[in-house]
Amino acid sequence: MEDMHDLQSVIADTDPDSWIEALPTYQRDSILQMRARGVSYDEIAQIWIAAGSSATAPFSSGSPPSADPTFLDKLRTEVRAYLCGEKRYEKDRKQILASGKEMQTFVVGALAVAIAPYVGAASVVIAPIIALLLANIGKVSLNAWCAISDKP
Amino acid sequence: MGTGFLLNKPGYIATASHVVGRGGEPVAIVLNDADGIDDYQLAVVTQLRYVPAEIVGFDPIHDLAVLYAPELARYFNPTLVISGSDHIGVGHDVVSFGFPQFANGRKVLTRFDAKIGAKIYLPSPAGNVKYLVLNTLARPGQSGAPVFRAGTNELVAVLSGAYQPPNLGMSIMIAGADLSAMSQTTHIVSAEYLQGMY
Repeated sequence: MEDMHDLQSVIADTDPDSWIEALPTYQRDSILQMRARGVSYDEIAQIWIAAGSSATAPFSSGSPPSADPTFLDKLRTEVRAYLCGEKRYEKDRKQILASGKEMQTFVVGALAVAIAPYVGAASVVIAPIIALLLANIGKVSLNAWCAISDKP
Repeated sequence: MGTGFLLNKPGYIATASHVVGRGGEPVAIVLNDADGIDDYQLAVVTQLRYVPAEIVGFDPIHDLAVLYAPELARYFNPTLVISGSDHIGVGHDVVSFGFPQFANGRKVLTRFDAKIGAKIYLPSPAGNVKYLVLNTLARPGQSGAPVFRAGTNELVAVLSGAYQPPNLGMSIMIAGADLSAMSQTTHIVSAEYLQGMY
């Protein structure tokens, strides 16, 4: 669990908004515009999942991206598993902490790449949602957050 | 399934974000078999040539996505100019290329000529999004199609879908067609939102 303590310092030392700042401009700007309208990180994550052109019938075949209402819950579960020390992400956590790279951008990208196969999505698709979930943790102690989010 | 088009960077293709979904399944780009728009095309699909691709840009707020296909790294549109809806007016001629009815097993690259009918904002949680309206009926398979100013390589928009009255509560499907989306009001999103995605 040593790596979890190190992740705790990463989360606790990071300003919540800086997770959003780590995203590419085209994604960051839309999220910041929603923040400026008083929308919470969690609400934005839900909006991002279900987003599409309003009053427009999409002209592709197949299920729309918003068809699975449990997707955000699955993503939350995986982020929690990653951050709260689940064994299957142990190697990924160690890589993050050993990287020494620009922390926020690297952490968001690394989480997205590690989690993507478990939720059935491309990493670039879920990276903004992961940044929002990290921002939503805020400066709460990771131990406390893991304990709280462990409850149903 | 929808339509994609080459960008001005080798191997990069743009389309609508709803075409690629979340990318949970492997994304493939089906190649066009015709050498040119004037060639005769086999209208019934008997086999498909495709290459794998990965999603490298995803913007569901503006319904845009960018893919990278390593096997298409030799191909790009070097003279493509990405402008947007600010640079074209109502009544101007535009041209689009897409695959209408691809969902029904018909793969025919088809040219559409239209005029800009209106410039509109569609609301989104992140603010108003710039769209243009084409007074023409688009069909499933055309999502993600490029829309150029006629006679140029200037990309003004990307086809998103047809106007559908909100809050209908239910749609009526007849022979696989959603009647509520059978409108001659096609929404195309300003191409300016592609900037910075690749």
